[in-house]
Amino acid sequence: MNAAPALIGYAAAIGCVAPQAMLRSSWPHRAPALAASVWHALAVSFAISAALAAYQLVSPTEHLHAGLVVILHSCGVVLSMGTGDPNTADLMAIALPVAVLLALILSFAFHVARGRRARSRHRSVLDMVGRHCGQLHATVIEHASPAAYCLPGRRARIVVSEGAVQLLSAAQLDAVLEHERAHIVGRHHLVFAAAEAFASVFGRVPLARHVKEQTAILLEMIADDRALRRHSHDVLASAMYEMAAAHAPKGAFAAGGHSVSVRIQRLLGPRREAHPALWGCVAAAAVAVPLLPLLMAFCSPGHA
Amino acid sequence: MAVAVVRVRLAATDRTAVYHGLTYIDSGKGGLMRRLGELEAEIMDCLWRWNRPATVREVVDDINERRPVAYTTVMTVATILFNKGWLLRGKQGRAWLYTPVRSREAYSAALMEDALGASEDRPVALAHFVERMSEEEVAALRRALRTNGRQTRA
Repeated sequence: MNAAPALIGYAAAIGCVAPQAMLRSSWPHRAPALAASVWHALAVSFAISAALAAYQLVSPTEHLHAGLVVILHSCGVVLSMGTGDPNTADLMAIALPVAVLLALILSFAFHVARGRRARSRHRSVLDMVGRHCGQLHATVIEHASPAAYCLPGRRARIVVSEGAVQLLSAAQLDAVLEHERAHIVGRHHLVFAAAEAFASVFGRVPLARHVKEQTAILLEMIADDRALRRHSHDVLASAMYEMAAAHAPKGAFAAGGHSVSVRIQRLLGPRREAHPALWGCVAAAAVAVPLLPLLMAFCSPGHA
Repeated sequence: MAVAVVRVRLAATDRTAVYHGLTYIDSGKGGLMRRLGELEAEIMDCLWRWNRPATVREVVDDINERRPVAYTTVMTVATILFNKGWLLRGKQGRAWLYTPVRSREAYSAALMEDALGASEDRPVALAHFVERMSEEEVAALRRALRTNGRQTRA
């Protein structure tokens, strides 16, 4: 008897049930940084339990091991000793979790590198076309439609269109730029790359899809909160409204707009400070959740 | 007279090409070893502003109104811009006439498209400030802003 069934059950709960619980609760939008940590903790926990379950499935069970040897044999893998060779089982038992870990690391590296390549291509054109504005600490590009974005990473840039400069008041513009600065300072592109990596490795698990979606919107809220340190809720909400309204296409439904509404409603809504005890509990859970599968695997009777 | 070796990184291409041994001569009064990228942008800016083909001489004269720059430096950088695909050139007598391949507006529009495009796979910008909303959502938010007693200019 080993911990494999328990680990699989746990992974299923984390992968399917936990996201629903997170989506239903209201606290994540009040504490976006904590919520993003919890989503990532769930992802890490899921990855660990999947890797450990693979390990437990392969390693100790003799008949399963024999089955694997037959599969390997039929695939043309020549085994030195045939069934009963403990090295093959050990090798498989190590290889599977390592493969899961490696897939995650490679996927993360891929997403980071792809983003960096695209941003550097974009930046090379931007530096030629845009005008650096020392007053705004941003690059202004000549375009009538209002927009603001950032290129994070090394040699970061904050970009704002001429249309946005015209549309917004000085305070509104500063709030928007502060929001973009928060993305750069917080290295949000790496956080998002981690979520993307998890989503592309475990694409079919509900948790994977939700982690990516929720990380994106929570990072926006974190940046909003940073802008609120220097500007009032009214200024930021009205800046968002002005920018979004200028973009609204006539009579067409635009995908993705929903998150702006959520963000503005959040700014306009009552600002409820939750109890510190709740924060403590959630933070403790975020730390504990990745450790649970390890406990299950190594404290199971089969292992001892 | 100071002789400097200039290394130019071609950031526009994925491969990094390094030109060795390009030399230029300056008057040694300082400020001339500015980043070549800035000079590239400056040359493009001249040509976009004038909106007509121009020679290196004209560009040099324009820049020299603000700061000293050597003719050979501008010529070298203009050649780089030609090789990178930013400029077209044609002979007029003995001098090259340079023209931007695309207008500044076209590049700006392409940048906006790249950064804010609707495509799902958008790794360029981390996030644009706001996405598009439907008309109904805009109306709902306007009401929300008004009921909160906040001033909008809508």
